Amino acid sequence: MSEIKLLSSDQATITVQKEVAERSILIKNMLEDVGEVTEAIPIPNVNESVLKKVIEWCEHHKGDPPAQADDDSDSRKKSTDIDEWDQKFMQVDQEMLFEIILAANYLDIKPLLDVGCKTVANMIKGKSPDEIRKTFNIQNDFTPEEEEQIRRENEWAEE
Amino acid sequence: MFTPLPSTSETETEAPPRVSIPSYLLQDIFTHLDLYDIIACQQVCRLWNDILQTRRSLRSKRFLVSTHLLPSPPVEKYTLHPVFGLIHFSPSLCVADTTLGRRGDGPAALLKGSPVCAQYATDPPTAWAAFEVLKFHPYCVVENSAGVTVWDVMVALAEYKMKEAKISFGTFFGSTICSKRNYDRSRRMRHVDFLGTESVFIDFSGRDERDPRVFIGTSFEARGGLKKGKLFKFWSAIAFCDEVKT
Repeated sequence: MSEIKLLSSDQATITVQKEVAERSILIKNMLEDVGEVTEAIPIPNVNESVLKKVIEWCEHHKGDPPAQADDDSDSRKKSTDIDEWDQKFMQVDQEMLFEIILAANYLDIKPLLDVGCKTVANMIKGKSPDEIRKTFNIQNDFTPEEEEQIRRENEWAEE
Repeated sequence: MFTPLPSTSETETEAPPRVSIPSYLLQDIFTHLDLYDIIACQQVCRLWNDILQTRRSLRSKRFLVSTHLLPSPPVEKYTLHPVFGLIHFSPSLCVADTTLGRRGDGPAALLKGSPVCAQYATDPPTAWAAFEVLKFHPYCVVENSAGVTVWDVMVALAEYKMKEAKISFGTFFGSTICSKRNYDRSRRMRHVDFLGTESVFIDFSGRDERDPRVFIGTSFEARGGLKKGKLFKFWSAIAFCDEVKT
């Protein structure tokens, strides 16, 4: 099993099985373009701790069948079900969670990006606007008039 | 983006994130939410509201009128505004008195004057929609070149209901039932006759499997109309739509 090296943004070198690293479409394409590489591949947008976390996910999912052709219209909105291992994997602080999402997006690991987005979606579900703001530490920047307008637009949906 | 605030006095269990999520990823996150959560998200902050109002894929969950009609490739699927699952007509059947109800006995919000009226009736927006409210009666056609709105449909349906039906009791019930119940067979019916005088619920939640453009109203129900507590199924309704050409 051939191995490759990745170089994180904070200059840490991580050795990883090629098969695992190729869960990242970005890395996969890069390897296809350059062929054999001996030196570490720089991943300038991802630091060591996040990169290790992402690799952990790729290790666990290396045997997964490749993602189906993009029929995302139905399958994606269908559920926010997350498999148990992934749920545990995503039990990290919010900053790490966002970092993982950003890394998954940058490295083009769609299933991981999906799990990350679903995890955030689950943090939103069932919450009031105020609770959501608290959860993500967001400032309410609406004027009272704008707030009233949005509330009125949606009054039909009030329970 | 999740804009970090300066640390607040009531510290949450989690530290405010230093990382923020770019809007294009927020869009991905919102895709996983359903209608009610999306409505909550809209009220969180301007950025979230902007994303939810302007992204086509998300608008199909909310159907908000975007500031301009987006050019779009031909699509086959139309989704009716969720408000249509909740509409009832008031007993007077007048457009002006039409109320937007909800299931259950809670108070109904008045649809008229509500900004929901200005929202498109379907997503993608359609220039015309036809509702076949009685299978033996012409379609009720709703047109608006700028895109049919919820209010357009409400007006058209209410007006439609006020019109005389071109059929008689005899054609509708059959002669046997007419004689049994002492109906005047030749008497023309008004739509209101079918519906009684109570609230009528419209539910377009179904979709024809063979033609995704067709919505099927599962029932038009007079609630507690002719017999208290009994639901009467009168009409089936379907809607055909044509996309707005820009």
